[in-house]
Amino acid sequence: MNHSAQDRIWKLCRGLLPVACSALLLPGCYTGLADVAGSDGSDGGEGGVGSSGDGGEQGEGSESGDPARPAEEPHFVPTPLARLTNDEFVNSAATLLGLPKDSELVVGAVSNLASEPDVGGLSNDANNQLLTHVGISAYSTVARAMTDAFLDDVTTVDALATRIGCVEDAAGAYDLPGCTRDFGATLVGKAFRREVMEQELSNIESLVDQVDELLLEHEQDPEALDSHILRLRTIVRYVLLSADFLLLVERGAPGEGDDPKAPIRLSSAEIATRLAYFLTGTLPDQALLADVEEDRLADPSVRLEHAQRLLSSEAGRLMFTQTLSSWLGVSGGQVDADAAAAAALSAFIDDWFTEQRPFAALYQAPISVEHVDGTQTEEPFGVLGMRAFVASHSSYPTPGFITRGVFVVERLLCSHLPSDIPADALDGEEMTPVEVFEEHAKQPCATCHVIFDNYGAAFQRFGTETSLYDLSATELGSSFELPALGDVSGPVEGVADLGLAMGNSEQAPACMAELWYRKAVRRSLDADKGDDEALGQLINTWQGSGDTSMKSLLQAIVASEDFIMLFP
Amino acid sequence: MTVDEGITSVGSKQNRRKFLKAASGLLAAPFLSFRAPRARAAGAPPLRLMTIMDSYGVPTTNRGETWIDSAVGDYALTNDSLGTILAPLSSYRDNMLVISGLRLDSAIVMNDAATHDRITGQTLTGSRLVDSVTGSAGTQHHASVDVHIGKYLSDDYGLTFPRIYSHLFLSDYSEASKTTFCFNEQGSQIRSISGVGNIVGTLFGSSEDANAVLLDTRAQQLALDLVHERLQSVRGELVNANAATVMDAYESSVDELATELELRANLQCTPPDITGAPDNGARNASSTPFIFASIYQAFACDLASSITYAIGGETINQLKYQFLYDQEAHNDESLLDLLKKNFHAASHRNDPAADKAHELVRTYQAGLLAELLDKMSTTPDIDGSSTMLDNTVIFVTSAMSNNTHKRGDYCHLLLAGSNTNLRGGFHYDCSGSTNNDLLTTIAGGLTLPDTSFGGYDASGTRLEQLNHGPITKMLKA
Repeated sequence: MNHSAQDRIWKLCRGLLPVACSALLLPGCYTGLADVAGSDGSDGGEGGVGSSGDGGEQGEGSESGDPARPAEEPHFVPTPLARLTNDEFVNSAATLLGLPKDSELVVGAVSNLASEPDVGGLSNDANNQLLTHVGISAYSTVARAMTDAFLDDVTTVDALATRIGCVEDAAGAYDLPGCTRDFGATLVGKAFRREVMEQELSNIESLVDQVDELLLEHEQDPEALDSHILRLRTIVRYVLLSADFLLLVERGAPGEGDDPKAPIRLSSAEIATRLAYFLTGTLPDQALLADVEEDRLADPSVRLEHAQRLLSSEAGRLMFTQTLSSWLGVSGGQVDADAAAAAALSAFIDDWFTEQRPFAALYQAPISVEHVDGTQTEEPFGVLGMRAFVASHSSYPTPGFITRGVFVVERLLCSHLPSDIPADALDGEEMTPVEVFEEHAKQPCATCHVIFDNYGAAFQRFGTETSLYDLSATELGSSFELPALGDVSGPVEGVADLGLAMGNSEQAPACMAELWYRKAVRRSLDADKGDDEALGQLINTWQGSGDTSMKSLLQAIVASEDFIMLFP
Repeated sequence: MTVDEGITSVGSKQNRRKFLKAASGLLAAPFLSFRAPRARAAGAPPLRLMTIMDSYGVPTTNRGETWIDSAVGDYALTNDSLGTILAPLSSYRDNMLVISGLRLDSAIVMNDAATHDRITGQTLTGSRLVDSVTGSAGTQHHASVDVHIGKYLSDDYGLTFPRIYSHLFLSDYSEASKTTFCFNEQGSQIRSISGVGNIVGTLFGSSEDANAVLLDTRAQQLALDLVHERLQSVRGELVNANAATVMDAYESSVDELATELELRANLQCTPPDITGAPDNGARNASSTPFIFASIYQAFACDLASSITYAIGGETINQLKYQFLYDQEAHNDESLLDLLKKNFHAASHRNDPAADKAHELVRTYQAGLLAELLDKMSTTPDIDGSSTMLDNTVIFVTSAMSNNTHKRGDYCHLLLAGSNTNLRGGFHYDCSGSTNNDLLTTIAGGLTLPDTSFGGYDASGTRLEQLNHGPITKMLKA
C-alpha cells in the first residue's frame, strides 16, 4: 500500500477508535473513499452549511499534522448553529401550549413537518438542516394546528379568557387584549429559553396592534371570538417561527467572548437548553430553570444531578428509546415491523436503559424469539434477534445477508464500506441467494462482500420475507468467518455468536459512544480538529468507570467541560 | 447534503417579492388584487411540463403487443400500432411521440444495474450521482431536467404573470431515501410532497371560508414580517461559523413563504374534490386519480411551470393494486399476490404473472392519463386562445427500462401540445441516441436553447460522448 493510500485510509479512521482502523486497512475496499464526515457515509454538509466534514478532496489540506495547516489554528470543531429537530419542535410547542404529548395532533404533527435528513441514525446534524420555505411553511401550518388544538373546546370568549389565564376585573369583565399580550409575553419567555428583552415584549404588543388594524380593515368585530383567536394564533405563529425558538442560539455567558478565537463558556440558560434537548428532547423544566436562576449549571456535579433526574423521567426514557430505535433503523426499513414487534423492541430498549444494564446486554440479553413454526424460545440474541430489528433490515427480494450485513457493519460497528460498485460488479438478478452468496465469495466481489455478506449471513435463520426464526435455514453454511472490524472477528454460527463478539468488543461500544457524542454536538465528527481525542476520552471515562450502562455514558457526556462550551 | 421538499422554488426571481409588493400595492393597500386579468402577452403561450416517472418501464416480453407494434424505424402512428398499454391514449395519437431503443448511457457507464436510488437519480439528469452510499439521499452535479425546464419557463421564458411554483414533485407515498428523481439547481435531492391530502393542502390551501383564509393569510404575513425583522437582530449576535449560511437560508425561506402567501392571497383556485381519497400515509394506489386531479387543477390555475409525479410509489413497493385483479378474466393467484402484496417483487421476475402485473398497472395508469388529457384538451388555457393540452408536454418515463431491473432499450412516451416544438404522431426509433439527447430534445420542445444536457460522471467530469445534441427529427424546428 502506498503512502497516499495509507493517508486516505487514515482519514477514514479518524474519529474511530484505533482498533477500528485495523478493519479499515483491508486491502482494496476503501481506496478512494475519502469522506468520514457522516457516519452513514453522507457527505456531511454538501451545500456548505458550515460543513465540518472534509468533503472529499477539499479536506486534504487540513489533515492532522499537515504542514499546510497553520500551527495556530484552533484544535476544535466550531459549534454549528443548530435548529430544533422536528421532534424537538413538536415536543417544545406542545409543552408551551400545555398539549398532551400523546394527543393525536402532537403525535401526527411531526409527519406534517418537512422531512429532515437522517445522518447515521440522527436527525439533528446541524450541517444538514438547511431551511427551505417549505419547512417554514410547515412550521406555520403546525403552529396553527397546535393553536387550534389549544383552543379546541373553546366556543365562547369567556372560555377563551379562562384558557389563557385571564382574570376578571372588579367589574367581572375580562381585559382580553391585555391578557392576550400577557399570554404572548409568557410564551416568548418560555419559548426563547432565556430572559426576555423589553424590545421583545414591544414586538408582541406591536403584532397584536397590527392584527387589530387588519380586523378593522376587514370590518371584523374585534371582540368576536374569531378575532381573539386570530390574535392568539398570530402570536403563536410568530413565536414558533422565530429564530430565538427554532434555532439553538448561543451567545455565551456574560463577559465571555472577548477573544474571538477562544472557546466561550455558555450561560446557565444555554447550558440548561443543551441539557434539556440532549436528554429529553424538549424545553428545560422547572428544576433546570431554578438552577439557571442560581447560575449553578456550570458545576458538573449539578449537571450530573439533573442528568440522573431527567434520564429517569418519562421524557428522558422516551428520548432514549426513540433515538436508539432510529439508530437501529427500525422505522426506516422497507418491511414494516408490526406494532407488536415495535412495542417489544421499545420495551427491550427501555429495560436495557432504565435498569442500567451493561452495554453487552444490548447484543446478548435473552429475548423471546418467534419461530416460523409458531413456537417461541428464549435466545441470547439481544436486539439482533428482535423481530422489529430484523424485519426492518430486509429489503426483499435483495438477499437478507447483504442488507443486514451492511447495516451491522456500517451502523452498529461504525465501519465504512465503499460508496461505489466496481465496474465489474456482478449482475446477479437471475441467481438464487445461495448462488449470489457463493459468487460473492470469489474475487473480485470478495474483496468487499466477504465483509458484510459474512456479518449478514449470521442472520440466515431469520427469513428475509417473514423475519421469523427457522432453525433449518442453513443454506448459506454452518459457520461464517467474520473479517476483523476493530476487535470484532472470528467464526460465528449465528446471531448468538455475533452478539457475543459485538457485545464483548471495544468496537461496538465505541460506535455507540460515537452516536451519543454526535447527538450531543449536533454535527458529524472531524477527527482532525479534536473529535478523536474527545471521543477517545469519553470512551475511556465511560468504560473506565466500571459502569457500562447507557446512563453512565450520557452522564459522562454532560459532565464534560466541552458540553458547556461554545466553539466559535 | 441537503434535501429540499417537493417545491423547488417560489418566486424564484430574487426581487420577486418586492415586485409583487409593488405590483399589488401590498404596503399601501394590502387587499388589492393584482391577479385579474391574467391574460398573457400574445405569442407567448403558457408552456408547461408534466413528468410522470415510474420505476420499471415496460416488460420486454411481448412489447409488440403491450407497447408498440414495432420498435424499428420511424413511422406515423396508427391505432393498430399501439399496444395494450398505449391503447387508452389512442385519442391523443397525434400528440404522441413513442420512443424506442434509447440508451441510458449514463447508467451503462456507471454500471449501476440494480440499485434503485442510483438509477432513479440519473434518469432525469443524465448524469451520475455524486458518490454516495446506498440508502442515503443522493446528490447530483446539476438540476434534473424537469427542474431545469421549470426554472426556465418561470424565470426566462417571458411569462407575463408569475407562477407560484417553478417546479413541484409529487408522489403517492414516499420513502425519501429511495425517491431521488428530482434535483434542484445545487444538485440536492428534492423530496416529494406525498399523499393526496398533503398535496392538496400544499398547493391549494385550506378549504375554509375565503374571507377567513384571507385574514389568516394576512395575519400570517404580519407574523412573518416580525420574524424577518428579528432575524436581522439575531444575526448580529451569532458567533457560529455557519451562522451566515443558516441565516441566509432562514431569511430567504421566510421571504419565499411570504411571496407564496401573497401570490396565493391573490389567486382564486378551487381545490379538487378529494372525497374518498386514501389517507396521506396509506399505501393505496387509488390515490393516483386524485393526484392527477390535483395536477390538472394546478395547471388550470397556472400554479406551476413543471410538475413531476412519481407514480405508484414503485421504488418502495408499497402501493397495492389488487383492485385491478379480475378473478374471471385473470384467474391467477400468483398475479393476485403480486398486485395486492408486493408489486416490487414483480420487478424481480419475468414470468407471465409478473409481466401481466406490470401490463395491468401501466394500462391502468394510461387510462387515468387519458382522462387527464380529456380535461386538458377541453379546458381553455390561461391565455384564452388555446387549450391546456396545446401548451403542455407530458413526459412519461421510467427509472429502469423494464421490469427486471434492466437499463437498455427504454420505452418512453411524450405527449406534446400543438404549441410546443415537438412533432407528435410518430414512433421514433432512437437507436444510437442517448438519454441525454432525449432530455435535450424535451428542453428544445419547450423553447429552451439547450444543445446538451447532463453527462457528468461521479467525479464531475463531463463525458462528451453522451451528448449528441437534440434529436432533431422529433422537433418541429
